[in-house]
Amino acid sequence: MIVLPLLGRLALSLLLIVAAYAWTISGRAVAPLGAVASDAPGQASATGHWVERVRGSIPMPTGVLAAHASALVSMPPNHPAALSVFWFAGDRESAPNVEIAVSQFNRSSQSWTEPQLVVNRHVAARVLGAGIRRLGNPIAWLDHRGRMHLFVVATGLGGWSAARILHLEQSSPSGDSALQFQPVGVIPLSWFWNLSYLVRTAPLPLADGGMVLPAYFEIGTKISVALHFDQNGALMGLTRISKRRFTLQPALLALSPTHWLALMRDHSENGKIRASESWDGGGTWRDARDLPLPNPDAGIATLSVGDLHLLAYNPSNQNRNALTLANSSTGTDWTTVIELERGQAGHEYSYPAMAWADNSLWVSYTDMRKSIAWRRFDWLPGAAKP
Amino acid sequence: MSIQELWVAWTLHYAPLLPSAQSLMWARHVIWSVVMAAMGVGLVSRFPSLHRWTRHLPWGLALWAWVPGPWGASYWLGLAFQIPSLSAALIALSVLLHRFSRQRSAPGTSNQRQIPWATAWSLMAVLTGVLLLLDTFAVFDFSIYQWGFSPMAFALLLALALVPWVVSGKQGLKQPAVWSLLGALIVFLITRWPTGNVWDAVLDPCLWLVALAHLLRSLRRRV
Repeated sequence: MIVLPLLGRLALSLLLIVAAYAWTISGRAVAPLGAVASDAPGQASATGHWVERVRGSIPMPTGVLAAHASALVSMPPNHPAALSVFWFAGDRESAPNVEIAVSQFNRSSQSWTEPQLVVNRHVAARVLGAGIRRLGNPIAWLDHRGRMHLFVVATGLGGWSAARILHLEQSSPSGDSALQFQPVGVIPLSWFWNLSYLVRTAPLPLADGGMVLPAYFEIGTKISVALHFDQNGALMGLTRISKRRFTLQPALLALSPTHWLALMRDHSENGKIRASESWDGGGTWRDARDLPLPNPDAGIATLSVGDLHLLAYNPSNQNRNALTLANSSTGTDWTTVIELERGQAGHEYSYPAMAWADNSLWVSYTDMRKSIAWRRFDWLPGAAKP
Repeated sequence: MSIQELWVAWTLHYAPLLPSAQSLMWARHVIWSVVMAAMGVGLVSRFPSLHRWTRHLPWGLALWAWVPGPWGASYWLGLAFQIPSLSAALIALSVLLHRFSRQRSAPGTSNQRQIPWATAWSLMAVLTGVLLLLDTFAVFDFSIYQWGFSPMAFALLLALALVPWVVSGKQGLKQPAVWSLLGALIVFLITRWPTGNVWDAVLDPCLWLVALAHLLRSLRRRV
């Protein structure tokens, strides 16, 4: 047997390291820094006002007692549906029978399709080979091929703090009305058994076809993060949004291609909507001045329509019985434009979601934890009639 | 340029390369079966007075990890702990090899005075685990875990894993803790198991606790 001297072993080790490094980087995608956001759809930049066109409740699956955490996604112009809505449905939040439901707004019938249950924890667990205890918040995104991706909160041993983010991809044909999903895997985000990362808010589309998915860590402390994905839905990296340890469920707005704003739910007492901003397309983030808007430790939603930025939030730091839509051209000064709901004490209208489809603004939200309400608004130029 | 910006430029250059879902199905069964068999060996050797059928316990546990679906052990262990690190699997494998080759002396021990690589490795594993645990709770401005996806992290760990061989030659690779780290990096290079992140390949929270126990025992022996 050949016995190498010290220098020989050192030289061979260096050779091994260089070869392994070259192997590791060969054919590997380079994660873009400072990716730019695409132009926001719509033409709501001139003076105008929102007019409600129609409202209602999304049909619920038979026998379902509770619904929460809806997410809207606009469908391509040639698709039979204008948009899809996903939510979690079951006996109650965190019930063993919770599944992810979807309904689509059909363009020809101008109505919502019968809901389908598209993610079942037992089925997904069997495909993954590892158990899933509970399912929660779904977030949907369409990739550059028109394939739907779902990001769903899936818990391990424990409650929401033991959650992981399960990534699923559409397995049915793109134009098919019956959606089916296949688990891609659990997104690796932390060393500690990959625990306690969740999603709730909508992704920010990027010019290269990729997207930034807001997420948050919530065991013991609350930390907002942004996950970069490429145009096929492959993970590109994670960036922390805020240094504050009580912010979660960040909602992203692109004020310019590289100047982004994250507005966040506040877990602290007498909460406000917290803000953080990035000047390099999500590469780095700095905490910014908080918005002068209250937050009752509840989820918010943001959307850019043309040059106008929209924010749906609960206008209280105590409860969720009112829900408001505000707009802004700067991202810092917000004006209330529509009172979506104002209920009595104990009522809950929460977890809003927004999308722009067929030249309308669509808003969905949890209605008393029993169903998902939806509203459709048109933008009319000129001042509102008194 | 701030430290955070420098860190981002260094760590996010290459996109993470994750293992496929299909290969992870195999990884889950293979790794859990080896780890469970080693745990079985540990149990059997700790309680030698048990009935003689218990000597088959390691095989039973290993087979149980291969049962698919909710009747299988890896299904429920995966719910709580995902997949153990490759280092843990290789250390478990060394336990099995030692047990079934009926060696009388512990692997890697000899009368020669040698550098205590296993203790050094335990110390590094404990410190790394502390850093990764703090990083989980975002104590630092940058993410150490995310750096585990970068080729640079892999190259540095490989350099570290080769130090015992460079310094001590063949003797340096005899201790399971040492060759398991090197082996884990080679398997990771080929398979990207278990998550595509090199930290998950070389250290998991359970192995971290084992390393901590080993380190404390070594220190107590010295005292």
